[in-house]
Amino acid sequence: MYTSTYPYNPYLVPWDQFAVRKCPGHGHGHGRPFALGSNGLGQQADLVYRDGAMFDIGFQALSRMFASGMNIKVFVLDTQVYSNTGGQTSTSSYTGQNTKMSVHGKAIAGKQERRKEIAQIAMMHPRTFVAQTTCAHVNHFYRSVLDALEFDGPAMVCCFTTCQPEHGVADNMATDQARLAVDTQTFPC
Amino acid sequence: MRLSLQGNPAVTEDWWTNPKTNEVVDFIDFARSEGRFGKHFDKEGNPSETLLWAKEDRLENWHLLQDLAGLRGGKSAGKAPAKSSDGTSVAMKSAASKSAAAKPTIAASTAPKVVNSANGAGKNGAVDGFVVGVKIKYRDRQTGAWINGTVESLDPLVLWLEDDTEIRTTAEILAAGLAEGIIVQQ
Repeated sequence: MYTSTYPYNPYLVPWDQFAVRKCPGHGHGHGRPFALGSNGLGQQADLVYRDGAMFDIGFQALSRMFASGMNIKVFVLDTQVYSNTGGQTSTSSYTGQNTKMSVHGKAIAGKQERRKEIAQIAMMHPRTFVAQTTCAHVNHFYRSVLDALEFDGPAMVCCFTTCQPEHGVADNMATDQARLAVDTQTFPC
Repeated sequence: MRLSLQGNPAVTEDWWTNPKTNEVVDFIDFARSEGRFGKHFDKEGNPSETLLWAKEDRLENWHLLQDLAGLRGGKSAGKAPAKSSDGTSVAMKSAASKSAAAKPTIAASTAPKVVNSANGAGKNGAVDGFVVGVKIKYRDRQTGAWINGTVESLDPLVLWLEDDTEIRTTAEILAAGLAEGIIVQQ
């Protein structure tokens, strides 16, 4: 946590920040006191995290959060690596991808496992809303987010996001690469 | 439960064909455009075996999504899901929810409307005498037993029953249920 504890922080809404793997459980446990957007049916909490947290080290907590049926929304920035710690491989990384911890060398050609599909797993939990989208598909993006917020229950939006240095693409290519990811079934939306 | 692939360029095909170049675009083309897969191409630009396997993985994943959306091989292939969807991507809503599963609710003939969209979007008119907290009784069609409950919300209209069932409905259908006598205000 890098700011004051709730409610002593500078934000106009109840807000805090927790370690990656604790995120869904935290939202789950604080679902009621953290009333961000009441829709008349109950309370809502919103969480934003990356693939490393939601696909890997916070995965169990995410599943538990879905099973709780609580009105919690999760937005996953899917960069296919642990971006904030330097680009280590995650279960979201693609087969053959050259990352730290799955370096492409003479003996092993990058990641040798398949990518985990968090959306398919998430939507098999009872009564959940799940969407995959990208920053390049603006209407689709907003529709996904609004539908997730509107859904009365747990919802997840998984968004393909370029991590330029780790993907090996130019800084101005995020939109182009996101479009190409969808066009090539690399990341269906 | 619904899954929509709306937003993808070729929902019934394996790979998309770019209409400008008339060329099929697949995972290898994506990989070619990013440095993270750069070592998988030889001097002639041919992809490695690992990358071809990755391409198969992407295709298998796509086929799974097409299967789930009813867009591949099945009798409804190419029909309803994409058009009838609400436009949200790999969006699956097990909207039937516990209320739908537990009870066909109110009038069987209108059941699909009754068992909610689960997103709370519907606007409902008022029903005379119904305010939040009003106690009701609901008669289960199958057992004939009466179950006590309360009005939990008016907009959207939600009834809660003591057997932990939620009924999400509309004022119109509630009025029909009252007229039919399967819901009674206590």
